[in-house]
Amino acid sequence: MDEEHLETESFEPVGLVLGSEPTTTQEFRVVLGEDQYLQLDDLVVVKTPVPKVGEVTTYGIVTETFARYEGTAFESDTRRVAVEGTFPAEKSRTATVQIVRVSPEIWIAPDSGGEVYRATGEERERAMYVDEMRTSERDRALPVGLTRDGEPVWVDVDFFDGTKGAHMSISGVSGVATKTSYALFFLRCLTSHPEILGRSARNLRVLIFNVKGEDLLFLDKPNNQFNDEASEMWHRLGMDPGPFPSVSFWAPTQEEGIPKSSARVKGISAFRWTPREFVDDRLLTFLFTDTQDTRQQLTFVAERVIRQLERFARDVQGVPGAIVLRDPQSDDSDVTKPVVPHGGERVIKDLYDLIEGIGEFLEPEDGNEGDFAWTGRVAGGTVAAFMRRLRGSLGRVGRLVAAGESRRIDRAREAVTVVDIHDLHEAAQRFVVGALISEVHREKEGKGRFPLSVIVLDELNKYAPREGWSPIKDTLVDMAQRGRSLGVILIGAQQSASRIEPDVLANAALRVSGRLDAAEAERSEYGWMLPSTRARARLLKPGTMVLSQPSIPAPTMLTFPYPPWATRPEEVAEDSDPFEGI
Amino acid sequence: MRISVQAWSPEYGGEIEMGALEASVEQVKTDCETTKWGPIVPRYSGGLLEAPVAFVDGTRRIDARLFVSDARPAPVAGLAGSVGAGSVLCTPSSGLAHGRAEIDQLRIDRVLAVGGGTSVALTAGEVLNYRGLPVPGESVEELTYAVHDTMRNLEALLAQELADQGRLVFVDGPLAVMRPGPQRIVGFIKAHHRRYLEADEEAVLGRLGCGERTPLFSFGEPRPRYSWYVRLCELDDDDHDWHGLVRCEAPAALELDDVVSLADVSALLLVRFASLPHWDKRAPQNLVPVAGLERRLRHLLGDRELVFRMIKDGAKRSSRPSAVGA
Repeated sequence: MDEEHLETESFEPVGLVLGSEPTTTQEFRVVLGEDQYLQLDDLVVVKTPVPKVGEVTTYGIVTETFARYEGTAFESDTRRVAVEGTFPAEKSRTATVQIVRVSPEIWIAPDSGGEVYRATGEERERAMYVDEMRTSERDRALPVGLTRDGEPVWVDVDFFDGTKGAHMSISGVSGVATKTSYALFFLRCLTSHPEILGRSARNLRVLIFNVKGEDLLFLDKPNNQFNDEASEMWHRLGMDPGPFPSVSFWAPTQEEGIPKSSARVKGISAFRWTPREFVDDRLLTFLFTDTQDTRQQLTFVAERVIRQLERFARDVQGVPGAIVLRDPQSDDSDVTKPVVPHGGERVIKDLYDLIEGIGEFLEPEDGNEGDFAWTGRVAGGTVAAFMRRLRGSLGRVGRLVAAGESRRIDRAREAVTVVDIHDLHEAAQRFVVGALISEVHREKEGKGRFPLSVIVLDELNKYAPREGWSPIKDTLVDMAQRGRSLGVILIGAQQSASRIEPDVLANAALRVSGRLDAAEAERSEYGWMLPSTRARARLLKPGTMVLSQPSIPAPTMLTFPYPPWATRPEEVAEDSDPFEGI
Repeated sequence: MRISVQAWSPEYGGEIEMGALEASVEQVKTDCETTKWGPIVPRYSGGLLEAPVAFVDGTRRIDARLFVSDARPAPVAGLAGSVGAGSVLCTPSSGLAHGRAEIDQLRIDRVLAVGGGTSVALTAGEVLNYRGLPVPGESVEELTYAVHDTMRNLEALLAQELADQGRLVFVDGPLAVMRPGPQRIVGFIKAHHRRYLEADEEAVLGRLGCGERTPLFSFGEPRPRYSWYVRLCELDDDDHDWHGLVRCEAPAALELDDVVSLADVSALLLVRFASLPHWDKRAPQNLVPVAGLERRLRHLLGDRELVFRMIKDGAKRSSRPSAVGA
């Protein structure tokens, strides 16, 4: 938009406040000038002289537009007006405007006939409350997308970093809603603007789970499809487009030290836990993440077993990460020192050993009842079910636990940690997610807010479903409720917000939605949308999202640019780094 | 035997005021176009059919009845009336362009018609000024006529202006108040109160097909006019023979050939603009553009209740002792 155009645009009213029906403090309509137009999401401003107060400025957003032949009463009149030319009627075009702000805060309806202007420049920023996000002392307005007319949309970072609120919830149909893409774009906005994030940007750690496909495994590679047009959009948001500068990639261990990843060979590390880490991190919890488990009392048994493992586990001399289970009452040696296994004592080097080791206490071979200290006196059937479940998880989770040098995921290595779990069985996915988020949670407990930790989790409905209880859900709910003060921020994505635990959803200060299923859009979880937004949510194209934030009383429609990082192996720019890994 | 229910809504009277159909007192000449009376199928094919055509109509409303008291022994009756006249310009479709009907002119006049030749103006609001209109008589009928004439004059003025610009103009009502020169102004009359033709010629009216017209006849001293009838619609089995007829008038100052053309053009055009029974209460005679114009004009006269209240307030203000001297 050239300057001259801009000037005429802001000085000429787009229309007048409609006077044939009353205006309210929430809504009014604009009769458009003959050579003017307004489209959905346009921001407008109208000034109203108010007795004893002076001038009140009303800002609003266009939520619907209308056109009709004024004075026609019959449907057939349309033909008379438009084709036959027998009936005189004037075309009338109007737009409904939802009021988003009045300044000063004198809540009056704008006067009929008032001149309505497009909100541009400073007026536009005021309509979007940017002046409140950006004071002379601190700028908290983070650009996080562009409106249809190519102008920035801002988010009040206070509502993301925990100052006033935290967490983001992204909903939308799989495939077209571009939920993960937006989450990544948002993260890039966060990390590209240290001047706005301030303290929150320092040592910011991001944990991303790659749940589907392998599209997050190339965040550090330039995208060969990236073009000038996309670049221009990035620049308009005040960012130099580029791949994420600091990312570590992790995939489950295939064989010792070799990650199981077909898409990415170089620059990806294998992860797993040693039996010692498994016991210390109480990871057994995350083998019982099915919501059915609570009902069957299996989690009760698991609690006992975890406590006993902590008491019994002893490091094994010469075998790093391995343990033996030794009753502390029958052995009075220093528990911190590794031990030499007795003859016949089971050295636990992997999950199989561990499960069998536990089995020795729960289902002794002599056919006696299990050790009460381990079983907690539950019925024999429950113990059997517990062991069955443990053995069942062996095939799914087994390769994630093995003795040897520590290969746990090092989230401190780079700013962004991508953990690829797409190839794992759902139970194993839950195990990894549970293990890592509880690790983050534990780490931040009692340490203060900074540095911030961000967790990006797609398919949140699997981890924090509306119904039932699981240890992961428990952690996520706690994170959602206290994350603000803990400095743990959750960016959760899901197809349908209605299937998410309400506590998790309610605590997300920022809500984003891509295209929604028609039935889903009608649910109360999307009450933050305007009726017109809901209707449009079914039609959103990839790359277009609706954003709601506490600072602005109306949702904002935004687009975000194509990523400069690759999302598929084919997109990786050839010449990015030929010597990588050498 | 047939029973025909009149198409017009009863509140508008009838297209033929049966009992009141009076014989014309005027001298009617029926041989100006032809002596062989019968339905005429229009043959005109000139440029007038492609050119924009203007429809002129007016509306009037009595806003308030009032009395003016002055030095005379008894108060004098007056009427506050609002009149409006306007025009619609209808451009026929040509080639790919669709036809267009646009409101061209809209004029509003407000008068305070007061009997006994009294001239009083009244300011009822910033945009609500009634100019004085002295009326010699004192009866309500005379006052009402004066308001009506104001509208007719407004219409006539507008029609003449448009005709001077070269437009073909159709004006609602007879050309009686107009003194048109050789201008292409056609008056069209929706309802029939007078009988102009003798029985033989009158019989032709019942035989007119849709879009057909009668031959020309002329009458009217001191304001001579040509006239003819046009049928605007097809007849149904239960329609009476005179259903859907309009009578047209054209100034006698025009050449006869021109009037014949105008008559043909009117037959061709008016059918195109005729309204349908479900659409208008005076179909088919109330033409579509005229109905649209009328609606707009009535709207422009302002809200009746509001205007009445403003007149009352205005009268009160102007009657205050302080205002009298001013």
